[in-house]
Amino acid sequence: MYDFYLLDEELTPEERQIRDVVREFVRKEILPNIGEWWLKGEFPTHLIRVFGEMGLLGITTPEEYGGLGLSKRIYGIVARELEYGDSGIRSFVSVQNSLVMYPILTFGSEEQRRKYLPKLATGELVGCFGLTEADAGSDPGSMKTRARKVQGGYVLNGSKMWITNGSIADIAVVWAKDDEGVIRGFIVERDFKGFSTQDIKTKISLRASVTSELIFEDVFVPEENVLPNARGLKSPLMCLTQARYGIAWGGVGVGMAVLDEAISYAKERIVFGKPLTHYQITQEKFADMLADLTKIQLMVYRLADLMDSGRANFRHVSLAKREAVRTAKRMAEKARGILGANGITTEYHAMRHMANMEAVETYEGTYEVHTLILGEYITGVPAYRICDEEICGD
Amino acid sequence: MKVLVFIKRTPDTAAVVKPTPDGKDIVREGLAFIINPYDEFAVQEAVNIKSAKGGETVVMTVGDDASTEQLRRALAMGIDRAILVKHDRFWELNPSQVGYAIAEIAKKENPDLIIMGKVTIDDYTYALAPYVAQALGYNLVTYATNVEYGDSTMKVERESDLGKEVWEVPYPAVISAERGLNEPKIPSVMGVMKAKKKPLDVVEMDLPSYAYEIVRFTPPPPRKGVKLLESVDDLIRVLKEEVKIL
Ligand SMILES: Cc1cc2nc3c(=O)[nH]c(=O)nc-3n(C[C@H](O)[C@H](O)[C@H](O)COP(=O)(O)OP(=O)(O)OC[C@H]3O[C@@H](n4cnc5c(N)ncnc54)[C@H](O)[C@@H]3O)c2cc1C
Ligand SMILES: Cc1cc2nc3c(=O)[nH]c(=O)nc-3n(C[C@H](O)[C@H](O)[C@H](O)COP(=O)(O)OP(=O)(O)OC[C@H]3O[C@@H](n4cnc5c(N)ncnc54)[C@H](O)[C@@H]3O)c2cc1C
Repeated sequence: MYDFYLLDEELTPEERQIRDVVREFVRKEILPNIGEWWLKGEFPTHLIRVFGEMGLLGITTPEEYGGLGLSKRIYGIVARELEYGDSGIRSFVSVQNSLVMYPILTFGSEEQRRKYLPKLATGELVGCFGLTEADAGSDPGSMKTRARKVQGGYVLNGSKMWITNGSIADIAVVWAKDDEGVIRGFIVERDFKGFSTQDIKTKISLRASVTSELIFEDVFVPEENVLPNARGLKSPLMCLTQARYGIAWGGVGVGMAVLDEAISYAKERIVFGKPLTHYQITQEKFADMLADLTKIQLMVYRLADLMDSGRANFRHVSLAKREAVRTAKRMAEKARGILGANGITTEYHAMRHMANMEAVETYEGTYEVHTLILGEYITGVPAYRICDEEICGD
Repeated sequence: MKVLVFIKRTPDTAAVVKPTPDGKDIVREGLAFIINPYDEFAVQEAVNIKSAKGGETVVMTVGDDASTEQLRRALAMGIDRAILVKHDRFWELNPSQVGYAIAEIAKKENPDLIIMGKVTIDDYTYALAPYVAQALGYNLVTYATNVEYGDSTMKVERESDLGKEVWEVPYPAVISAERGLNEPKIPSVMGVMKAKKKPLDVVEMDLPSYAYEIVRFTPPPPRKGVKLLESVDDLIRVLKEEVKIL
C-alpha cells in the first residue's frame, strides 16, 4: 500500500491498529466477494451487523449514544480502508454515520437521540437520507416534497430519488418544505402508512449498493419525529459536508487499491519478452499515479486536522471531494489500461472502481457543483444560476 | 477459571524473509509482524472461555518493545491484561529459556489453564508446551482441536493420523492449540480502544543460559513453477516417471 510521504506515521498507535483491523476486515470479508456482489447488483446485507460489531457505525458519535466518540481523522481512515474494498461498502457506512446519525445527533431531540442512535450504532437499525428528487439534484432547494402541518404532526407528500440504502432502511431522514416553504427534517419509520420504496436496478456504477426511490403518499409523521433543530437548506447541507469529507478519504482508498493492483500485475505480466514494468511508458504511468495519489493523501490528511480542530468549512471539504474523486477516477482508468483485457473484468478491481467513481463524482455535490462553490469563494460571485440582469444588477 | 495465554511475535506468513549478510539471522527491518497464527487460536480460545465461564485471562510474551503490538492486539481481541517479559533479542532464545520464563510467570499467576499455539511458524520446535507442562507439573494435551470445559476437568479432542481422540484431563493443564480449535475474530474498533486502557506490565527476568547458537540460516529454495497437465493419463505418467511415487 503506497504511503509515499509516510503520512500514516502521523497516526497514534491506536489509530494505526484501527486502520489495521479495518484493513484486515476488508481483505477477509470484502475483497474475495466484491466482484460477485457487484456483478449481481447486491449489497452484502449480512455484513450490516458485522459493521456494527466492528465499530464502524457511529465512529464520531459520542459514547453516551452508543458511538465511539473518535476523531474525524479516524473516520477518514475507516472510509479510506473501506473504499479500498468498494465504494458501495463505504457509501453504506458514510450514509449511516454522516447522513443519519449526524443529523439525529445535531438536529434531534434528546429522546430522538436515545431512541435511534444506539441501535444505528449496532446496525440493528439502518438509515437513509432523502434529499434529492428526480427533478431536484444539484439544486435541492427546488424540492417539491411537502410537509403539511396537521394536528399532532405533519403529512408528507412527494418522492425522493437516488437514495442510498432506501429499501433496506428502517428509518429515513427526509427533507421536505413546510407550509411556509422552509425546509424541515423528518424521521420517517419504515412502517409509517403511505411510505414505500422502489429500487433502481439498472445502475452500471456502484452496483454493490442499494439505491432507491422513496415515495410518500399522505404519510403522517408525528411531532416527535420532526427534527426540532433543523431549519432551512443549511441543515441538510451540513450533513453533506460531513459525508463529503469521508468521500474524499474514500477517493484515496480507491487510488491506493488501483495502484497496488496495477503494480503487482505489471511486475508479473510479460510483454515483448520482459515484465511490463521494464518499459518507460509504463513507468511514466506509475509515476503519474504515485504523484496523483500522494497529492490527495496530503490533502485529506491536512483536511482531517482542520476538521478535528474545528477550522474546516464546507469549501475546504468541497475542494477535497472534488479533487480526490476526480483523481481516483483518473488513476483507476490508468490502472485499468495496464491490466489489458483482464482489466475489464470483475476478477480485477480497477474497472469496478472506475465505474464506481462515476456515481461518486455525481453524488454529494457533482464535480461542477464543487467547482461553483470554489468559484464563488475565489471570485465572490455566485454562479449557480444564470444571472438575470434585473435581479443581479451590474 | 484463570487462563494464561502465551503468544509470540513472528514474521507475517506472507512476508518474504531474507537472511542477514552473516547468515545468522533474518533481516527484520521493514518486515511485517503478527501474532504467531497458532497462538492466535490460543488467544481466541481464552476469550471464548471467559465469555462462557467468566474468570480472568492474561496474555504474556517474551519479546522486545515492538512485541507490545502483539500484546495489544490480544488485548483488543478481549484478553484482560498483558505481561511482557522483556528480551531485546528474543528470537535468539531457545524453547527452554522461553519455557522457563512462562513457568516463572505461571508460578506467580497460578492459572488453571495455559494455552499456546502448537508451534511457532518461525522456529518450528513444538517444544514449548511440553516444556512448560513439565516444569510446572501440569497436565498436557497437545494439538487440541476442540475442548469442552467442565468444572474440574475438560474434554479435549485431538486429531492424529489414526483418527480423533478425546481425552478427559483435570486442571491445571497446558493445551497446545491446533488449527480448527476456533475461528479467531478480527478485533473491533471498540476492542482496540479498550485495549489501550488495559494493564500491560513489563517484567525483567534473568533467563538461564544454554550453549545454543544459530550457526546458519538459509532461506527455502524458490518454489518451482506450476506445471499444468492436460489429462489424467498425463498425471499418472508424471507420477510414475518424474515424481516416481507410483
Ligand atoms: C448512486 C447514487 C446514490 C445517491 N444517494 C443519495 C442519497 O443517499 N441521498 C440523496 O439525497 N441523494 C443521493 N443521490 C443523488 C445525488 O446527490 C444527485 O444525483 C446529485 O446531487 C446530482 O443531481 P442530479 O442527478 O439530479 O443531476 P443534475 O443536478 O441534474 O445535474 C446534471 C449535470 O448538470 C451539472 N450542473 C448542475 N447544475 C449546474 C450549474 N449550475 N452549472 C453547470 N453545471 C451544472 C451537474 O454537475 C451534472 O453534471 C445519489 C446519487 C447516486 C447516483
Ligand atoms: C472484449 C474483448 C474482445 C476481444 N476480442 C478479440 C478477438 O476477437 N480476437 C483476438 O485475437 N483478440 C481479441 N481481444 C484481445 C485484445 O486484442 C487484447 O486484449 C489486446 O491486444 C491487449 O492484450 P492484453 O490484454 O494481453 O494486454 P497486454 O498486451 O498484456 O498489455 C497490458 C498493458 O501493457 C501495455 N503494453 C504492452 N506492451 C507495451 C510496451 N512494449 N510498452 C509499454 N506498454 C506496453 C498495453 O498497452 C496495456 O496497457 C479482445 C479483448 C477484449 C477485451
